[in-house]
Amino acid sequence: MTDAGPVELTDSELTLVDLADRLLNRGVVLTGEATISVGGVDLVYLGLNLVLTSVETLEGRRTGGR
Amino acid sequence: MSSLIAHAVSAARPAPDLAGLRGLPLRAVALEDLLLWATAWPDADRALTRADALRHHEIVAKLCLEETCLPIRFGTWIEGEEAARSRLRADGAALRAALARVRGRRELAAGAPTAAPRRGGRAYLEARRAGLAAADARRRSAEEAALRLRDGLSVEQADARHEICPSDRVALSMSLLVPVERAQALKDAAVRVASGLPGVRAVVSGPWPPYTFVVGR
Repeated sequence: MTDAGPVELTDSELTLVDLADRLLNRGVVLTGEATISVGGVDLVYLGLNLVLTSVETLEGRRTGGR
Repeated sequence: MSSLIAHAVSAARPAPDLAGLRGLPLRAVALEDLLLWATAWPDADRALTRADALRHHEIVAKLCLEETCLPIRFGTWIEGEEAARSRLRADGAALRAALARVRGRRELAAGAPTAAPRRGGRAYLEARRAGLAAADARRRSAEEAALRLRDGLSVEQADARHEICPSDRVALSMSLLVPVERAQALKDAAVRVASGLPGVRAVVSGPWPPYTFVVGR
């Protein structure tokens, strides 16, 4: 087993995480039957606070959601 | 009838020469004093990509440069213009209040990464043994960083939001709502504050459109 040491996000990675978080977790969420769908995965918003992970969502659903 | 993928709401018509996602037309659906900006999407295939997310952000950022805008959460689909007007009607009061709140303001972001040990290896085992003590120290450092950033920029409590350790890779995620005419100076000040924070390495970015402050909390 190798000691790879801790992994810390670089500045650019952290900025990307910040951006992804804002795109996917923030912004206006319209009430009613607006569908939030990223990467082909349909998520129906029904007036609840729908919390998605950020970069993991962008990467994971992009590759696995089609 | 095309579906719409929504980008932002504004109270007046900016005059950007902008296309929507993938070069598709950008539409402005009007209801009274509100405009909903959206890409007219012709296909049944709604598999959005990372490039679409980044283009959504570009559209929102350019609209916000021209006029006060509220970013809409990426990936919001609306079935046509009548449905869009229905949403504007239903949410009109909240949208107008949010526009008033963010008018003339931008969002700065400050984030701090955490050192997440790789799975396996001596560092991971040590971290597991350190366990709660290390996590608690990380939280305290991040909380202190948030307070120093907010106080260092003299931002009102209502205009500062932060999360401590929202994931195992991020110790601090912070947003500050600041006047647009002072955004760059405050960003420079935030960078100076961040450089002196004990126990965290904070990265300041922005100004962004006001993603975090479009709803009250």
